[in-house]
Amino acid sequence: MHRSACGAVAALFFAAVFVAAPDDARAPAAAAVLAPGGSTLADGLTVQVRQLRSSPTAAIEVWLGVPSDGYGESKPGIARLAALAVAYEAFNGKSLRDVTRDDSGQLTITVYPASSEIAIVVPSYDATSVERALLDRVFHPSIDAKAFAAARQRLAAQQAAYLGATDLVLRDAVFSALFASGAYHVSPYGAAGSLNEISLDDLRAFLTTGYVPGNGIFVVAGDVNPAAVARIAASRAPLPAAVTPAAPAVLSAKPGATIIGNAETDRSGVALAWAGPPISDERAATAMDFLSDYLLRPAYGVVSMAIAAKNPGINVSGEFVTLKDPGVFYVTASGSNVDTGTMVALLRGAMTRALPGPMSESQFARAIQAYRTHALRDNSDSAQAIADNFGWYFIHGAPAYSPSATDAALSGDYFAQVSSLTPQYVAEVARRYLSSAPATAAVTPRAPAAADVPRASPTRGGS
Amino acid sequence: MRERRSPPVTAPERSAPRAAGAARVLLAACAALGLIAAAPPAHFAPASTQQLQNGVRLVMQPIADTPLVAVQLFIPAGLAQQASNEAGVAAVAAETVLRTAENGQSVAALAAASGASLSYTLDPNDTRYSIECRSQDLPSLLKALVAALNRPDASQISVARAKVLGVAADTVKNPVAAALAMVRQVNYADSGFAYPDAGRPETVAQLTAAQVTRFLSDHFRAGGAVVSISGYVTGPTLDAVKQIASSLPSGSPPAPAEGKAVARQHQVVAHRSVDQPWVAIGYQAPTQFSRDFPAMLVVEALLGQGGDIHALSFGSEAALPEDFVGAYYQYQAQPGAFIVFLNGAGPGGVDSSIRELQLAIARLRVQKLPTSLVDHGRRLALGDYFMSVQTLADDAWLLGNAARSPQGLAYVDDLPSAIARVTSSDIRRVAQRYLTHETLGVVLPASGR
Repeated sequence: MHRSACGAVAALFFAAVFVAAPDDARAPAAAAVLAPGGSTLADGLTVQVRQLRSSPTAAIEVWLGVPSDGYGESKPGIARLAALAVAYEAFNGKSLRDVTRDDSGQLTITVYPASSEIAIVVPSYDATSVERALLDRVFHPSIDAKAFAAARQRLAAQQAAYLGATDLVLRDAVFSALFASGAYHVSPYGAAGSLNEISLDDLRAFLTTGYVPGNGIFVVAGDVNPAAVARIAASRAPLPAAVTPAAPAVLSAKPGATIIGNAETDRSGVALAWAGPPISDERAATAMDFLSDYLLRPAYGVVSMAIAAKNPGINVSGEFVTLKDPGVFYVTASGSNVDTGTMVALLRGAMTRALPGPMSESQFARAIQAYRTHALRDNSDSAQAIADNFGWYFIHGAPAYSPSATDAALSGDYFAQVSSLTPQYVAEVARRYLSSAPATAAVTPRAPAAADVPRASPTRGGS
Repeated sequence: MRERRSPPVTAPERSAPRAAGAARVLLAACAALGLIAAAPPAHFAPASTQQLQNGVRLVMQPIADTPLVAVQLFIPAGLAQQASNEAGVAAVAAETVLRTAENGQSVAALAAASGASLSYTLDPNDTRYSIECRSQDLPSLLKALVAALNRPDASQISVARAKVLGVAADTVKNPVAAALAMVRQVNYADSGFAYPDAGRPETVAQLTAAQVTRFLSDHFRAGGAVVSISGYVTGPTLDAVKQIASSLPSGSPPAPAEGKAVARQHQVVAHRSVDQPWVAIGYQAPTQFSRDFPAMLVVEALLGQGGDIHALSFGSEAALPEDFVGAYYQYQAQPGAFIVFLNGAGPGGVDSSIRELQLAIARLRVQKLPTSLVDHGRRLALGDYFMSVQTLADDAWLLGNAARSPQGLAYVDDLPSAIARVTSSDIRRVAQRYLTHETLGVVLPASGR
């Protein structure tokens, strides 16, 4: 694979690793208001339980706020390798995979730039044993050479398959162009070469630093007894340990452009990305969520539909990703044998036409009503979706703002913010965050030429 | 918003081992498997059912976790109700219904505008319409859907037919579909279920508007229809749903065709553009309300479930996978079909996988399995059953399906109890009865022709 970053600011940012004093063990969560059903144990581990009647299953998850490329020297892929090794590690003769498999469960490992998630869904009668198994392996890891080798083999397979997933490659590439350094600048999958740079000792050091209770949340959603969950979490708790903050996300001084020649796919595509509001600005972040739904939701969004009507072979998707600071609004378009420059123009044109100014009151009322339903369907359709949201919003410092923290009456911070939106405010947020020149990325199935580098001008006189 | 979880770039961590691997487990000594006590039952939220005067069965499961509600509307217009020379008519009819306008907007567009989802899935004995929406939006969406079923817009039939024709043409190239079709042609000869769900390109292309509207008017009947609701159901919403369901035309549809008993081995070979051979080994199997069903679920678990009953379904939001390995059990069809898909990716290629499977099945038919292995299989089967219900739509499907069983809604709790009671003798009995006359569908790379 040929990969070159063009136009990205070359300055590297190396944040000093700050080891907090033991008193700061709860640092990431201490200031945050927890969602109902949340509590923090003495060792710093946050526990979130949501009892549900809709399924005879339970989603049991641990989320950890660890950078995907590690602490200190960047080692892309180390967080994914660590999570896989934890899943393969034999504990009393059984790995998490074995435990899950015995119960017909589903084990999912998802590694984002700033967090790792190990999630297991099982029938609810097995919840307590799986809760113990997960906590034991995550907070008392003992990775041996066998688990390390198995994890490496699995990651190598994932890295190879990743190259065929054009939309994933595009997303990572445009994040890389938007951020100058740190975990958001590199793919959480790492690359074949980076795998060789990670030793078993590196992995153990990463786990010792990142897999500490003050850095994580234990989430259980489903047909479970909250008191029993709390007892198990407390009984498996490790000793308090210092929390090592990851380097903060640093935006490129000027949004970059990158192009990747990817021989593993026959699809080409482009991605655009803008920095958005931080999660602490909940109203603006919610407005960006609404905008991404209104513009980009597949088979609904006005941009998605406009492009699909004229170019049925092009697949458009995108979202606003709520992050600590800043959030990211991105859109991708991909298809077979499509010119990348044309695609950028198509996307920009459709975005500009879709956002001429404030929506009419009636148009806005319909769109916000649809958005509420979409947000509910996307975030509360299953125990796992509910648990995922609690994990994500905790990691980014606003657990009470999670869309999962609601009920049949739509209580909770998130839907209160949805209700506060107005057409004028949404238009102002769009102008503030989406009118500047975006970072751009392109993927082509051939070796790129310099002329292929997509560049996008501001929408309406942005910076 | 939380970043969407990316689809796994490699096969996810499967709950049950895949077919060839599972067969290996079955063949191996079982000393490593500890004795596992039967799992205690999990809990479904309480539900109730009533039959309306026109014959519609209404199932309600109130759950107040969120303001969402899911509805499954079972209309007895399934694949087995199609005449064999009209294969594809069920799909064209369902596509037409979603395109039918009510108050100037198609039913599908009406749902989309409110943020709801509306889709259909073709089952052997039903076309199943699924709605997920906020409770307050349900009456208007359901009313529009029922109106479209009553008065499908004939002007939309040509567009619907073109879409289904495209799917039917694509299906011909799909190795999983090709292998599945071979088994179905043997098991369900002379019925519409003998062919792929989207029909055959030649029959779909010939369908007339009159055939499509007649199929709908013949089968859109209250007798045999079920409205199953799970989620936030308030009194006024329920009253409105009852009123709408009461408007379904009374009467019963023609009975679905039944397959014929297969009394000998079959082998069918086709060539497709694939890198490696694909094989489907099919057997006739008990239906879901048979006393042999729980034991067959344990057999499926032991041989390695590849996906649940919906894994190979066709619908407005479901595409047939091009890569499916493992056991697939279609227990709604009459008779049921148990099919194991294998490919040549493993060590030893597809021949080795076939041999392992045949040896494993031979062992099921002949030997008394050790208690530990039976325990293991029961536990897997119970887990598969409960894990199949993760969303409100899953709940509504399970209950709507159960409403038509001899036990009614009690079926959802009776089945896991029956699985927990399956014995080694039960497994041997069903293996001997059903896993005998195999139909081997083989898809070979076109270049090897």
